Amino acid sequence: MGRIQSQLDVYSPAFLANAEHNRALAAELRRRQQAARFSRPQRDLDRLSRQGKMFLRDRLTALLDPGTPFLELSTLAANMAYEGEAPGAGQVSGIGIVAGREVVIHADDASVKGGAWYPLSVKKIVRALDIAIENRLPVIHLCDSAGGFLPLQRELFADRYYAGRIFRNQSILSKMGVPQVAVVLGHCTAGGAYIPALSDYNVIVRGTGAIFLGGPPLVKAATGEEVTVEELGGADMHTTVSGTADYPAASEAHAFAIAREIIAQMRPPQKTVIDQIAPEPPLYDPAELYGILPRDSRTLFDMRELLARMVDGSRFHEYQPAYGTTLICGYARIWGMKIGILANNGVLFNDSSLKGAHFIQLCDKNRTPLLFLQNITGFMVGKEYERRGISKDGAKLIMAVSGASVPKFTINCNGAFGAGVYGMSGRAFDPRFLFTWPGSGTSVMGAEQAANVLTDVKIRQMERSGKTLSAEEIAAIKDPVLEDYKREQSAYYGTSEIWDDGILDPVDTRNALGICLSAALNVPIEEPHYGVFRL
Amino acid sequence: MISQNFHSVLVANRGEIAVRIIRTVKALGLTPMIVYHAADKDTPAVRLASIAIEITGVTPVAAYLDGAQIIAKAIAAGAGAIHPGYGFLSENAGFARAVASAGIVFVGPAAETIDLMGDKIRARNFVAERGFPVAPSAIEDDDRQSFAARARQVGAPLLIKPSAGGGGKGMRIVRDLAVLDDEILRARSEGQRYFGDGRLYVERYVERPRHIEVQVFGDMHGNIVHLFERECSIQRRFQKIIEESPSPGLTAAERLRICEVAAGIARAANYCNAGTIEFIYGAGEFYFLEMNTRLQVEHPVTEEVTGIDLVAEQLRVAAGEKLRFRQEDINVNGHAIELRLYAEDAARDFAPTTGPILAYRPPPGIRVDSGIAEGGSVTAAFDPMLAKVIAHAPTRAAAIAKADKALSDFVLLGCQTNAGFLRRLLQDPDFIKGDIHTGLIAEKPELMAEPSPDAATTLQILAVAALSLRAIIDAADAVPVLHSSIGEWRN
Amino acid sequence: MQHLITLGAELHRVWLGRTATGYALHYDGAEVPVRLQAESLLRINGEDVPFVAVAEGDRLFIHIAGRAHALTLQDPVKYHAVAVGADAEDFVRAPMPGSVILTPVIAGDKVAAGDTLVVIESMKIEVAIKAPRAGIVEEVKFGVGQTFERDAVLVTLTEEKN
Repeated sequence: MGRIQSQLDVYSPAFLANAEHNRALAAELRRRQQAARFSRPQRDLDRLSRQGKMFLRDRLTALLDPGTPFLELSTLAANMAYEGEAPGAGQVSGIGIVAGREVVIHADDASVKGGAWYPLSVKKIVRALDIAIENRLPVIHLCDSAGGFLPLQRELFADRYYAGRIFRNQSILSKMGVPQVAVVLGHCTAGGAYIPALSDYNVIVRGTGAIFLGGPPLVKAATGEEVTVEELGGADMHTTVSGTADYPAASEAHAFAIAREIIAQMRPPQKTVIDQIAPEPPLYDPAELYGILPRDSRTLFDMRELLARMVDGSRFHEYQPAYGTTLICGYARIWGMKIGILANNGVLFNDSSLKGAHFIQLCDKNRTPLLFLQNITGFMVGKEYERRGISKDGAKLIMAVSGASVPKFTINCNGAFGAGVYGMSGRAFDPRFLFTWPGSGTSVMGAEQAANVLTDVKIRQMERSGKTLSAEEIAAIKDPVLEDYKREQSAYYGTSEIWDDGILDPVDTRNALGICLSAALNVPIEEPHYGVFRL
Repeated sequence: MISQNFHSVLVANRGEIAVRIIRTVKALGLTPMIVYHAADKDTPAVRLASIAIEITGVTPVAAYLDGAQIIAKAIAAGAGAIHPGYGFLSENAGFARAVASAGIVFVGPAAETIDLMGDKIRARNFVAERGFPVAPSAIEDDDRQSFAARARQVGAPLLIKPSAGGGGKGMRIVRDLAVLDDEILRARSEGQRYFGDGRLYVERYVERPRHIEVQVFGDMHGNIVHLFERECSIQRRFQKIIEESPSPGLTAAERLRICEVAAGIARAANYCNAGTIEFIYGAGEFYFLEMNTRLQVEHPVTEEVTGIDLVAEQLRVAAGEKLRFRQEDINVNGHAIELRLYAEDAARDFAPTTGPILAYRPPPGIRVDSGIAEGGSVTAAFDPMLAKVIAHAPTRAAAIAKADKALSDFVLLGCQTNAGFLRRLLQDPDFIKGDIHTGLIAEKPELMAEPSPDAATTLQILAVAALSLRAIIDAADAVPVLHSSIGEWRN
Repeated sequence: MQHLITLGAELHRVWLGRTATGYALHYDGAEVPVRLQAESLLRINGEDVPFVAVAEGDRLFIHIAGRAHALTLQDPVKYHAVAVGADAEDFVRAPMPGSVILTPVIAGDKVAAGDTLVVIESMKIEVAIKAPRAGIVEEVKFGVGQTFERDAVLVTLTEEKN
């Protein structure tokens, strides 16, 4: 496979300015993730100490295989919600290696509001279990939660994908034969009790772990019965009397040793075989990605330059290089694994939409996973394109994306706006994983455009009642709208709402994709079949 | 002059000495036989012998002490001679007599000589009466009433010894006469317990004494020679650990004097076959300690420096031949050091250890007398001495270096040994200077502790462990290649 | 969670990882490529180090750099089950709930590893609870006839004063 020839001047002022801008964005991401992972009020850390509990990051170190990567998902969930009081939504989820197996970790962070479940916490857990289901990954639950955050129960309890979905997903995983191990490190109360109960195996720490549908205060209020935590739902009662828990542990370290040994008993997965060879790092330095992404996301750049810093050996076989040039399609490898890439190089036209739909089918037939690199503001509008059937062609692309049986992965590189998001396998189209780059964002239309539309409406309203607005007055109307829009379309907002699986530093994308690809191959790939393409 | 010829030799012993004796028996064209307890069934000595006969006993040691059973087996097998080795029945006059009565040659001195020298008090008197130097002493039997007073007169420091004892058991050093009476009581009860005989004698104790012994040899024709001295001052609780020849502490004149005294004693006793006379030496003075009427554990150092196979000479003398060398034919060449390898944990006060012998590779190019082999095991049934490493070189310094290198290359795994302790002794500045005495080890308790390996060696050990232990390798192999390649990465 | 190896009195945490060319030892914060160059030859840090090693179960006996060593690979489940807190061996706990039938030691007694500290009865079975290490009895917490829960501390030990 031939290599991409970079046309960039890495010493040009534009490149250097971009690099400075993007490095600052990456540094900001690191700083915010570090804070979300580690900054806690001292009194919360002291409380954990007093209770004899390990800090969550130490628990993960004890659980995971040393020398292996951990891909953490949605680190910055809830970063723009609940007044910032629930970093990470009080949860850590990710994909790691335990006893040599790829597993999904779902962990309550007891250093954040006692591990209470906010609405976004529930969403994060459900998402982690959806990933486990879609990719047939065993799950390890580290249970240490105070229960649902009652003041916001309306957003986390009753609906289809709220808290109940956690337990439904657990049951489906068990039905699928995908094992779950729960390690009870704190109280599992009410709904939380079902997590260990629905796990195939569970371990409970003596003295700190407990499982009960109602804790001692609730029991006393309900029936007047006075009972201690240990008697009601402690390790010894559940492992020797009720049989709700399988293994009692003398300490957290003991519990993790047991959990690792349980996972080691699980049959290794049958990996789906795809085209895979020995990996090769990109020929061009991935750090150059910082210089490629423009400071102003509306500036056009050649996506091929991005590819050259991401794929093995910077090798790329371009499909239909002369046709539909606003969508680059072609084959490459990431960590040795063959993938088909669709990357935007402009808006989507008829030809690029058709090319995309066709290429997706080729990859599907060839059993080649798909990678979508989003940099899209939408489809082309106008009379000429409508007559040519742009809506039809966009529909064909969407039909292909929706129907593809091979695993799909999406990176929002430089903006994903409007219907273009659909054609480029946005969240609703079940890519196995979707990540966003720090300077990127997503909304129904660009902020400027949206602000202009909304402001125009307002201006016309005013003009109809005889008012003419000065430039300042227009700005006064437009600016707040623009600000709100920019805020709500930012990568940080999207990740806060868990519209993605996390923000990635661009240079981390290659490793993340390697891990995601490997995780996705625990499920067989179905035969290709689609709905009806409007031809 | 009795000429006794035999064609086979039964070794009434085990372990390294049995192997060593059998080697010479074979070299002389005689048939080696051995008696063994079932516990020793698969040992090198038993495999080396042409004929191996099982003996039984309530304990394995009891079997080797059962003289009647051994003689009966020897008769049944038609053995021409019995070599008792050291320990066990080697200094049992009754056994020697019974062997002779059975018409079998006993490879050792006459039973009467064993009797004489076996009774420590008799031996001491015998030596003193003939004008040979003995330490000032008081013997209880001389006058029980005045014993304590006479003991007091010997003066401190003194040593209380059981008259029926030997090999270092039951001895007590008294430096403060105030506790003398108490110590006498204790020594008496110990003597009763260990040897069935509570009689005592008391001897002047030499401070920082050196243990010097002389190998003597006599034949049935009245010829006596000495084969120079050995120094055995490196001892722990009166057990020898390192022996060497010649002694680094004697002047030429002193050497001559001691050796001639030893030869004189042997002559006076009409000694036959191999024997060793032990002396205590200190500050230019030396005193007779005891005579061992058998081959000693440390005989190899004499063999190395003189070039004479002592077991071969024992067998020839026992067959009635004349000694083949005169005193002037015997020379000392170079220096030899013997290290006794014990199954012991020096760090835990030399507690005996046990274990399977998982790997056994003695160092090449050096004499190793051993009774164990890979696949065997070390149990609590017997004495914990496993092997002897004997280094011979032109100089003492070269012999020390050769011995140290041999220990460094000696692979013995599965049972902990005192090899590390021996090396620390060899590297000790006082040992290297030759400034040694029987209390040296007691004075240097710091040598007992096993130092932790340094950082680089620890890393190597852990690397070997990681690459050898299944659980560790399997855990490494279980991680998918991709994740191993990415390594410890976090986004 | 790393592997636990005891060498002499020290506990070492190690991990073996794979690299593109073989294995690497993770120890003390560093990753060192290691390889068995031949059956008894270790290649590490540019050196070829000869050794002899024999494994017996989870014990490994190694002769390297002129000395014999014995090390043990600890089973993590068993190791962490016992090492609760800093001085796990100071607290002698009840393996099951029951009652005390015999207290052969009192505070101040010097005990060796393996000495019986208390005899308990549980579900018609008599169990002698032994000292996990040598030391001095600090306190016997239950008297004859008293009952206790599982994991209750029955006896505490302190360091042996030499």
